Amino acid sequence: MSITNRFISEAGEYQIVVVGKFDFSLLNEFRDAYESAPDGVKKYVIDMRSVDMIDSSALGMLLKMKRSLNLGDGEIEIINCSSNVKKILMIAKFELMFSVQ
Amino acid sequence: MLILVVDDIEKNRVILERFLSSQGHDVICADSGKKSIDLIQKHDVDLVLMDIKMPDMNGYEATRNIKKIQSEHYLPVIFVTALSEEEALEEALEAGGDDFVTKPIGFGILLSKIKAHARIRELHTQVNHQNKELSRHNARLNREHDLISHFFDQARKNCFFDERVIKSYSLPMSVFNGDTVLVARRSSGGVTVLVGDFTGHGLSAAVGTLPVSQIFFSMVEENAFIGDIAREINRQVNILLPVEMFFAASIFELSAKGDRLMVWHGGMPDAYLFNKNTKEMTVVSSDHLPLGVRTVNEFDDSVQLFYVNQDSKFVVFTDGLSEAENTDKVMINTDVYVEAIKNNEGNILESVINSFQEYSVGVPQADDISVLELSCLPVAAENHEDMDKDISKAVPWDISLDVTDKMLKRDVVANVIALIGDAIALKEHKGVVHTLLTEMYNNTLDHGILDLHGNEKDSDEAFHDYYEERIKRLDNLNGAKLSINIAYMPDLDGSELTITMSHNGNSFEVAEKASGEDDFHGRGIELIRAICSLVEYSDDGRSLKVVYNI
Repeated sequence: MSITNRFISEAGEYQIVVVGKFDFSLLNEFRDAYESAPDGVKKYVIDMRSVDMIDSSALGMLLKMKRSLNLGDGEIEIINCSSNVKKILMIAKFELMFSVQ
Repeated sequence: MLILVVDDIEKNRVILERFLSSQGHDVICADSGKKSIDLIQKHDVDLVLMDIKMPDMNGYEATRNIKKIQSEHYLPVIFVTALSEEEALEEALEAGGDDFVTKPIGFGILLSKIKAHARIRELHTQVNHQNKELSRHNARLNREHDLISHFFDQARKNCFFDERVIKSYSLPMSVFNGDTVLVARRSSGGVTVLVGDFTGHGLSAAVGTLPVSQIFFSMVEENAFIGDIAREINRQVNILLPVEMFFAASIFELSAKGDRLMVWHGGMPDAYLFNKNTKEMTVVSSDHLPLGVRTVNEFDDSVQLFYVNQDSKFVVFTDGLSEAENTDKVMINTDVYVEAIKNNEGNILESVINSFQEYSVGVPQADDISVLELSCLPVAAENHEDMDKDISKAVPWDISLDVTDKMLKRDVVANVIALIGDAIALKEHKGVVHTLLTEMYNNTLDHGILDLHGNEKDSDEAFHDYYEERIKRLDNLNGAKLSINIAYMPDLDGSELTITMSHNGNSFEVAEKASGEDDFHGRGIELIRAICSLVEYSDDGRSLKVVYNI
């Protein structure tokens, strides 16, 4: 399982945890993760702590998520990025659309 | 028994020697005080019969000397005296004499006194022997303590204690601490903390610290989630410790930015989240059983989440504090600590400890005590002072590989990264180089060899169809070849990694800029251009060369 999720109901935060390589092979699994979010989600968070590589298709998947959930810039938080992952997100100017940490 | 008779008058010596010999004792004689001291040093004398009035050195002085020489052992000295004045006896005892018999000597009394003192001497020797045994034992125990302390110190050595962020206080009840406080900085920034308390106290409680700290530090190094750390510790405590032993613990992580606190809190007293600006107090209660109670299948890794800021303080303590008793054996009301936190004068930790000490004054400590205060401030990622990024130690190298037909389906990029990823000076770029190679490979494979085109990825369904088609075409390759060359040139003024990827498929036009309107299209080449200082197509798009600066 490369994608798991945690829903912290008191805070209404839904965290999607990606493990390993974040690329097109996770397309369906990633989409299922955000589409199956329970009711009462106030905040979506992508936890990148275990991601060692991210490619352009993953960037596409993140954009797709933002669009299909109809969320504004900075509403999705991408947390626990390694310096390498952060570098790619910055190069792609993702900090303008996501809250990148 | 060897008895020394000291008397300047020969007749007296002879009488005593004869009598004592007849009673089965060995006897040696001295005719002066001085002589008696010599003999004491030469022979293993068991008892001394000492005359008082002697020329040269009298009995008192001789006794003082003898006692000094034999200070470690009990060597009874019995004065034989015609004096009966109280004063003389007083001086005899003061000089170290143990007893006296008066002249004329009653032999019956003398014999019983000799027997009595022999018994005392024997007891004394035994006690001496046992004392020595004890101190040897004690020394061994101390050595073992030192050794075990060393283990525990090592176990905690990796702790990250930045006073700005972490303040902690730990007072074990005995030498070894059954409480555990571990702090580690994560590679992506932020800290992960464990405050825990094993059942009981002392060495038996402390042994659990060793596996726990190992699990903790190695998992934090892998950036593990606190719920997973708790799960693993639970599993190990289940395996390693007897059923009646478990580990109450609070494991929490503060995000790199210091704005998000996640807490797994099991079997611990309430913790407190206090905002020193708004004075808002949130009680964080245990929502789990202690670690080691639940089986692996029953285990619950859910966490509590709090949004925090630079004014937030998180205070955790072990039950040594929450179950403190006063002299009347009445347990403390933990509201005392809530007040201590609220009314702190700049130092929450001190304030909490003071209220504990005030309450339990005059009561001997009954459990290990630990308190930790976390200030929710940003903690940057660690700067790796790594030998491996030292360019002056790197040599130039290059590798080439040709990948054909069915092999193209395999994870070629992962293989290449495994080959070069740990090269000196390249290590910290591993992730970015991985992304770069992935983009180049997908680009070359999809558009060159497989003749697929980006605009087919426009919608979600199309994206899906695209990858279906990709798999189909990959299965039907015949005579396709993709060549990769990677060359590394170290240079103190800026090293270069040059990657060339070429193929023997169709030529293709390279779009200068992606449209950016859709989610999936063209971002790959855009990314390559942003990462590299040089991006160059040749051979009608069949060869792509890039330069990545290190």
